[in-house]
Amino acid sequence: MSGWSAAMRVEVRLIGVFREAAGSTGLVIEVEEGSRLVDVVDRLVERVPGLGDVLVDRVVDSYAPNALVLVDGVEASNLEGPMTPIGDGSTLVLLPVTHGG
Amino acid sequence: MTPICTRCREAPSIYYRPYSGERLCGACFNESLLERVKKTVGKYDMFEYDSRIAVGVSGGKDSLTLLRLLDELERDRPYAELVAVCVDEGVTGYRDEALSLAEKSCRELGVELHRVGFGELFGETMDEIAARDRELGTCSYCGVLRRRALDEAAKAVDADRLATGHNLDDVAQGVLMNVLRGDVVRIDGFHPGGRSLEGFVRRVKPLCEVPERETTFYAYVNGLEFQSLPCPYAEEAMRSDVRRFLNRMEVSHPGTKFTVYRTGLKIRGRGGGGVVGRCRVCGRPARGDLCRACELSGRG
Repeated sequence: MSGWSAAMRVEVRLIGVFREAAGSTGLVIEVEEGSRLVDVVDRLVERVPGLGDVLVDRVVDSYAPNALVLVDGVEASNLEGPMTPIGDGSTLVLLPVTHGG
Repeated sequence: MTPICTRCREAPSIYYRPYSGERLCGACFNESLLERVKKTVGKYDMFEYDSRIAVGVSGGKDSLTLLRLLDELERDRPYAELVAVCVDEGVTGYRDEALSLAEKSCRELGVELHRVGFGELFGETMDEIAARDRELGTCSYCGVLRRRALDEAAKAVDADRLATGHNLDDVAQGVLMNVLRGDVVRIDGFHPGGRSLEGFVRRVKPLCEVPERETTFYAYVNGLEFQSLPCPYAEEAMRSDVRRFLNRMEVSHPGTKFTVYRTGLKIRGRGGGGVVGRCRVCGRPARGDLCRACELSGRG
């Protein structure tokens, strides 16, 4: 890394199978200033490897088939998808599309 | 910056529909779902003006979304009635939590709830079925017996319609699975609006044109408390493969699920779904002389 970047704190709320995979209802993670959604998801999966198996579809290399991701209450594909800029103090909600029933 | 809602052109949007290009604010999203369900109900002539509608509720996001939307829709029809029916399959730690969520939702809406159980109807709970020697996967038993239990519950409350929370993803998966299995009888009988068959309460699927992403989003943004974990016995391998395939296709080719669903409507026949006789045990319509519910519950 060539320079120092300030850390941003992002709150991640997990629901359903994501909560089960992480063993927690949510966590706070730190990412560098200027990070985008894809960076946050990468950091999240790094920190909780079990989450990668249920969140990310490796074939299409995306969370989109399995989850709705809300960034501060807005569904991410309504913003810039994986490239959505994330701000300090942002809240992410990871909502699995397939539930019980 | 958040784009403005393409419908009201005022509020910031919170949801994007890749298959139509719409960007919707919360109020317009809710309104659009209600309109779509209303249109679907009309298209298939699902209800009479004075129908007593049994709504199958499981405590999951689809059935609770359906209950909420039908409750709103039926407010304009003073002679129609809603009553919720739920099935306790007997899955310890899973269904009991879901049923308490269903009860809560019904209480909030002031909708009567009628409950039936696998134990009382078939003499065996899903926990017991899962634990014993069996020829088929757990989902095969549960699917058939739950369908029968819902029908029994709908009859017990004198309903003339049974509405279930099957969404677009469910019906598109069903169409594709039937094609992959070469099940021409089921392809022939595909009808989200149900059919009137003597011995059964007519089953209708008002959410059949609403993608699962949207029932999920609706339930979440409207603060519905719903069962969020999959059933511990879920093991339907082909459905999981088909679901995964369709979800991937929908990402790369938005609108695929609608296309599969419409294809199902185009290729279905008018042959009545293969119902040719009556079950010798329960007397309900059946493909042979024994219906699947009686066969799987060992009554044959």
